[in-house]
Amino acid sequence: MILDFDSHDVPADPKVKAALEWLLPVTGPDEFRTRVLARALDLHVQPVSTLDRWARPALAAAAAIALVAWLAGGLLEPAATDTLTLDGAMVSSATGSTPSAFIASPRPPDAEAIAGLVVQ
Amino acid sequence: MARARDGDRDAFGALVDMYQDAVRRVTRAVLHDADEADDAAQDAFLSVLVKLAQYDPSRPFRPWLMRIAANMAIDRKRRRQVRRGQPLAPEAHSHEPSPQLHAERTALREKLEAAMTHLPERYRVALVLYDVEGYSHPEIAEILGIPVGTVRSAVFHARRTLRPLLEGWREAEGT
Repeated sequence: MILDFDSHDVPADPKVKAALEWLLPVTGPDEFRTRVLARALDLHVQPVSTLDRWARPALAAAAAIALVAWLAGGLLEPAATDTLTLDGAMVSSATGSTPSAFIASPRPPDAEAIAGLVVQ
Repeated sequence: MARARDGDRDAFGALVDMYQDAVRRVTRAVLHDADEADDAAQDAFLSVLVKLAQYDPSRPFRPWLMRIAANMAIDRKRRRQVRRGQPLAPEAHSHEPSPQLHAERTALREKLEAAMTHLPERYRVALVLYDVEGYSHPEIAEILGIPVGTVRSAVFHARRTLRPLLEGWREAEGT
């Protein structure tokens, strides 16, 4: 057999396989299994399902705390005074600065006021 | 797999049963000494048990396990003094060969052991993974974390080293 390591499809060599299996025999599978399982018992690995059971309530609690904190923060935040009302904009229009007043305002105009004006 | 991850010891035992041949052979290819190789194989399985939560089920399990086993054996070899020249297979065979055959086997084993010992460890692992465990070159490259071309070269050179020693090899010798 010609062995060429540049080839992409070099077949497995049965002679080498047999020789390696003979040279590297695997014996005592039951003993090995028993030994590994005994050591695994010593590890006290926490099963994933147990972690799951604790992770979900923990996530729910964290979300609830975050929500409460956000609501509390909203209540404590000082009321915005820089909302641009339409009336204010109309006053500004008299001075010729309506578009710039809307654009420069950090908050959008009061939607209810706009809707009321449209209805009128 | 899911049961083993959930702490089912029987399921983990089934994983050990299923993969121990390949894992122990790879660790032996690295470590030579059978006892130390089994220690490394055991550590590999325990490491898998600990890391099962991190395992991505969409990826094949066997290469992941073999990568852990190979790295475990290589790390162990680096950490410890390896007793070179230790017989690779001291276990008794199921039947006693004739004195002449026994002598031939012993001689062949010594030659093969010497040849394997002189191969770089990644060559040995690559050869075992390729010719014994049936992995492809790209799979071995992923397991060992080396380029595919390096794997091809490793398998080629390892075979080229062993094949002259196997001229008179009969597969029945291993049984």
